Amino acid sequence: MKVSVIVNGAPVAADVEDRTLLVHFLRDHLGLTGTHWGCDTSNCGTCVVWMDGEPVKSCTVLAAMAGGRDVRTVEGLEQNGVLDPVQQGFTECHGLQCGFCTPGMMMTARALLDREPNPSEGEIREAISGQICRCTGYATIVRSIQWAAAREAAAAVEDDVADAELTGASATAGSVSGEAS
Amino acid sequence: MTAAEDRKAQVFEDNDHKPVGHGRMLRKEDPRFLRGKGHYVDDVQLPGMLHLAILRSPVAHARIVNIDTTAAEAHPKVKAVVTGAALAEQGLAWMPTLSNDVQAVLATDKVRFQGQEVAFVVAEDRYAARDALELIDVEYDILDPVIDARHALDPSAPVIRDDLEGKTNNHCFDWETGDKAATDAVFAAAPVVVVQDMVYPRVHPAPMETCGAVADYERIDGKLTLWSTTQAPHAHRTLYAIVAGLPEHKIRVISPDIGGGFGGKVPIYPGYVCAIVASIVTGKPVKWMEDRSENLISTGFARDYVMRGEIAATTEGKILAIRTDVLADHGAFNAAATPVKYPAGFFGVFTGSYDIEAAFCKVTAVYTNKAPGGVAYACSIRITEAVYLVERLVNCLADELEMDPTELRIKNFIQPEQFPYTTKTGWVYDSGNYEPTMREAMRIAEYDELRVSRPRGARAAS
Amino acid sequence: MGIGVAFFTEAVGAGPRKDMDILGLGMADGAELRVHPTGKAVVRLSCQTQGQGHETTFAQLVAEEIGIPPADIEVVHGDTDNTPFGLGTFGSRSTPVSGGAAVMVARKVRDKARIIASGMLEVSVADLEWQKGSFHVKGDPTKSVTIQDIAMRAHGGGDLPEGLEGGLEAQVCYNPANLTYPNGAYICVVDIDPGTAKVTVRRFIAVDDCGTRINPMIIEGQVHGGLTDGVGMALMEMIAFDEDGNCLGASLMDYLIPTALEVPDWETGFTVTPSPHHPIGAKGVGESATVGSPPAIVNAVVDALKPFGVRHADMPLTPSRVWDAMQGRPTPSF
Repeated sequence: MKVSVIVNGAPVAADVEDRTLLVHFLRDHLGLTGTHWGCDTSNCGTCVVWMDGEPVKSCTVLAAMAGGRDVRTVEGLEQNGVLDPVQQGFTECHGLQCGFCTPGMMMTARALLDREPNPSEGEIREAISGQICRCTGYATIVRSIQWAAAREAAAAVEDDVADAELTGASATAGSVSGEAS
Repeated sequence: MTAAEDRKAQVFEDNDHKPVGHGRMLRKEDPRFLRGKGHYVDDVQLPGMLHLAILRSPVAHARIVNIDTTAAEAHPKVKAVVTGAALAEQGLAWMPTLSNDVQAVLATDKVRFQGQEVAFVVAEDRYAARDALELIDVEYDILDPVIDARHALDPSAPVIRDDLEGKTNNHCFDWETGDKAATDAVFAAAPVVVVQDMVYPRVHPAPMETCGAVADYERIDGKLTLWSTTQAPHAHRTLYAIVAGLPEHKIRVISPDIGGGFGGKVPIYPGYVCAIVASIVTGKPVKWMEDRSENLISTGFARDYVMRGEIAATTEGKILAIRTDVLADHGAFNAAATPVKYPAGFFGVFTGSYDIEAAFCKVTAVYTNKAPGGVAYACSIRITEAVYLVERLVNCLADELEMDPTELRIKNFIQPEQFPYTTKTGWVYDSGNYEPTMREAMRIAEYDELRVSRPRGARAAS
Repeated sequence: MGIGVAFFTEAVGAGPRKDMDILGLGMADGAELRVHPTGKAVVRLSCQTQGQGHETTFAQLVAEEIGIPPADIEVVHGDTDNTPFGLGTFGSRSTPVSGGAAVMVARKVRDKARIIASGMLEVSVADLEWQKGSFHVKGDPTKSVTIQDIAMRAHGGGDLPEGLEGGLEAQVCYNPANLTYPNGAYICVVDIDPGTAKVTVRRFIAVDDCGTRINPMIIEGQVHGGLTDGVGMALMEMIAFDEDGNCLGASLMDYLIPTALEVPDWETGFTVTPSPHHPIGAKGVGESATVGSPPAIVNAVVDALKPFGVRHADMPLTPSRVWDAMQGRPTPSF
């Protein structure tokens, strides 16, 4: 059957068997091998991608179910070659070792921070509790996500300051012209 | 700042520290993993590549009466179906293990554990390969299995390894270390003896990436390129040369990015050999990737030691001797990755971190109808078992004497000036300064305060 | 609540080839180092990483010896056509054996660089002092050459000292004198819910001594991973079978591996007692935490269950097994 999906912002279409899993569609048909396949019972989470903005386990989704939807994978995290703060956090805080669970962890982390910019440690652990890492022991993954949250909070403050300066400048200009008129 | 805030602060410092040498440094390899560009075995795609799937035994112990592959061979997407009989004609149905035993690549006479490899299919895509497995019809004559290692040596137990000439029981090997006579003498005279049975159950390393290989045999040059999930590419190359009769300079083994090993990717698995054979037979690259069930049911397990431990001491808590009897379940084939002179690995360090007078251990290894393995899951070659034994025994002794467990250990530690220290089982410990290490842990734990909330020796009223 | 203590000494690396071989293959490791004309380097190892960070730590090992920054050192591993023979990565042997090889080969290159430097500075080898990255004349630091200068000279058209071949590279096969013996002290605090018998690891303190530490961040990561293994084995994991030989642990639904909710934030520390025979005094560390943590956790659970008269209970200490132990009927493992 023909499947049409938007993947990382670009429309793709392919002819696949009805039973093709989304994870295999992404990996084998589209060559997007950043998403991994690690179990057959939906437990490990190495296959996590976004479907219409929600993290899903792509091993439990048929490619057909993704038809007409917006799918995002780890390859779509970076923007114009610039790493997402989540990706930066994972390297800053040693949140990965073998890297196999990492794409899934980062996709969940990105979705969490979009929803909750300042999560507690408990909320972070809960968010990644459906995914397994055999290497890191989770503490550095938690720190990586906290780093990203802090980095985005700092950037938001910088943006606010910059906005305030802009507003202040036009207000001054306004009052000068006001005075002049 | 609290200790937790302290740790957080350290982590959040900007890392502009780029040591020319030792020191904290961010990882050079991170970028490709972060960007989804890691290159694992399942990411390998070659033109014309075929897919291999393995038919596995649903039962633990059975004779193979008949295998009918005609329906599978007739599947339009199937390129080859191979059974143990076909491999046997090439002398490839059995392969040596890392422990000088043999293991079936594909079963010929019997299946000896649930999940054992029986046949394989090569097809155009991974789904078709799995479909074709269901078209293979195997007739089994089911035999009683040996599952409980404690009964593996019963006279009535069915013999698993009747492939070994003259084998009439499930005994695998015996191994001893230490001085039995000296140890028995110390125990006989010791004022305090504590005995504790304990089991280190069978577990599995279960790395997030399962095992697999892509075999690409180039017929014109006679060169084999094998991408595989191996922790030991050179050793594998040499073994393939010896086993498959391919000249070693014509074999190239590539371990690309590996998604965790933990010892589970040290052995040569039948699936790798099947992929190589399939590539030779079809003239195309062939990929084999196991799924998680196959990984758990058939690849190298870890531990499975049933131990009786005994510790002898004075009433003041000076440890005198340790003695242990171990029953080791090795599964259907002895495939443990151990050095030749150490079939029970480095278990001999069960004397622990203590200066004692005598030690002795006997390990009896048996075959059972379970997957082969034993040395995996970060065991340091059986040291997980040894340390578990001694540290539980020391704790049991602490309980018996109503002594604090840190105090009992510190009292018995090998002293810094005794290094290099030769243990009673012949191991030469290179260096150690145990008491400060112990006290540092106690300091971080705020041990004295912990003890206030959980006083020592609160025994039940009988 | 229960407190458990464990102290371990383990043996990792390799013994001399006469004592240790697997199927007739010795456990020595090779290493090759080549410095290019522009002062960048490639080191080829026989071990193979599965997440331990070799591409970073081995660059650091070589950097420490020859003063080329790790960013300028490419680590090649995993391809048998392009790397020297060795027995691979397992048993925590990478640092003790391959690490030893990497250090030895870097020192061999540095020794050759010293001879070339003596020619460039027109002094005898004995009159040179090494400061990471450059040689200078003793007593006159202004007369110096960097390792990069030396690399260019080694490949360039100028004269080299008598008898010295061009190029700046070396190869070794390192056969260790002994294994290395990392050790550590672990303390675990658990709480057991009296109603559900569920064990929670409240705190885990791990102090490891792996001798000289190459990259503390990576060591900490190795320890964290191993401690998680310990929680898994002590409380959750078992490949079980029924009496017919059916494997009951054949999926992750049945074989339970810890998630972020089953483990605490780890508290780690360290001491440093170098190995006397290793070239930089380092010991392996990759498996230490997996070795030391299960007894610490089991000791803690047994401590917590003392009021119920429990002296021992076997892993995995799942809620049902802990419950049975509390009722006075510890479950045998099979």
